[in-house]
Amino acid sequence: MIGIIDLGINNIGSLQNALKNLEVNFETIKSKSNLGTFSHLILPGVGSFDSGVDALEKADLFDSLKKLDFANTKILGICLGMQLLCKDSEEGLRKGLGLLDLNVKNLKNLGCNEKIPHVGFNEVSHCEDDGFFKDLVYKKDFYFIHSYGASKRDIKNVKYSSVQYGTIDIISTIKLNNIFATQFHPEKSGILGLKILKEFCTC
Amino acid sequence: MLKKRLIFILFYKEGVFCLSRNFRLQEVGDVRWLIDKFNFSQIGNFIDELVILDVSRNKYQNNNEIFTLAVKQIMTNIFVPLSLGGGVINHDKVQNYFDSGADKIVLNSVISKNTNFISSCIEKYGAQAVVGSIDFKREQGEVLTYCDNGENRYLKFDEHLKLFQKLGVGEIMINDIDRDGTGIGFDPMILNSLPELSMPLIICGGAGKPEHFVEALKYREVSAVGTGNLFNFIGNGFEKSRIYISNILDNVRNLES
Repeated sequence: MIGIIDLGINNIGSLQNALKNLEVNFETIKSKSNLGTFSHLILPGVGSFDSGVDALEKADLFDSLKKLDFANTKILGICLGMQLLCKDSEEGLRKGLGLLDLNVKNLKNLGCNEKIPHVGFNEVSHCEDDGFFKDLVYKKDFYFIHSYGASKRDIKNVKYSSVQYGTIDIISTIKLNNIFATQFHPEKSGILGLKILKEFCTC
Repeated sequence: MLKKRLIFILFYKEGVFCLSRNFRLQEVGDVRWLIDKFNFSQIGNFIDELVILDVSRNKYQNNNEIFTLAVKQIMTNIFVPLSLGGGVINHDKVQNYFDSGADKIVLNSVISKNTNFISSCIEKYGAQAVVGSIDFKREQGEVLTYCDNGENRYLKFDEHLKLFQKLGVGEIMINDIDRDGTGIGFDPMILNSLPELSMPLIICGGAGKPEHFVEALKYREVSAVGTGNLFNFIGNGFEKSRIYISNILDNVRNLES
């Protein structure tokens, strides 16, 4: 079963519509539940880093996610959801889930010379062969809306794709075994975005 | 490279979607008509964003349920960013629009009444979620702006732009009342006199065919073009426009191939 984690701080309507459109069955997870029974989890998110951590804790999901055995469960973090999978963020004081060994930084501090937030459709300009995202994202456009992001410079053991914005490259997708993440919003990126959701839910 | 955008704008009034011509509304069809005539699951590939504006008499109600229900029906099959506007004068309304699926809210007339409200929206939801909208027309050689559906004269065009810039909205959308719904194209005089802004600029009012979009998008100052013309782009009009634009410009979203 696919589970969408509803933090209550963000609008998950378009994600739910997307899965319905793809005829994918899903459950919405609002509080502590046996996450291990789900084959796939989606962690969407809009808002600030600390509000995301707080919402996960309030729903009693923070520790369950941290301790979950991802050998049997795949997870896709979207936008703030991706950032919550990381260790921490310059946006807040709280610790993230730490499933990805990355620090989230303000785009300005990453050296961005362009307008912040980074908003709009942008093209994934580089993608490592990660066995999943490459064919789905390389040289394709997706909808971004964020002021913080992971930097290419910090990448160690994960496969990633990136998007060029002014002088910097921002991580657009990450894949580490069963952990998947997109900085952009697939549910706001037309057919190409739907394709990613479909592939994730059926992989 | 951030891509330039094509935006579809819908005007909703008391249950009916309307064609706006010089800000006078002609009722066209209800949400069923709209969904029937514009294949939303398809046009999501050809437009980059959707703006839906409530211009009903009761738009100031905190929750115009018939409107938000129509919005949800439209958004069932289209997966692009959504902006909602109309009657946004307090935070309850803003929250209602975000709860209804909006990624951004459009603020227009409130600027003439309560600029603090605009600042507070930016503070609470971030600049990226706030679009400042300006309606303008020409009068005795000057370009002047109007609030309240084009009824009350407000500022000179450049002053209004400056005020939104100072407030720090995430984007500015300008609507040409004289060309609204005419389909004769964007005004070259306006295009040639656009200032360099610190945020993206969306230009609306006049587009009637694909060539018009390209003419405006060629300007460095223009980040996006919008049209609310319900007749000129009906059926596969957006697909045709998109193909035309993509053949000429490379800084627009790639078509799915």
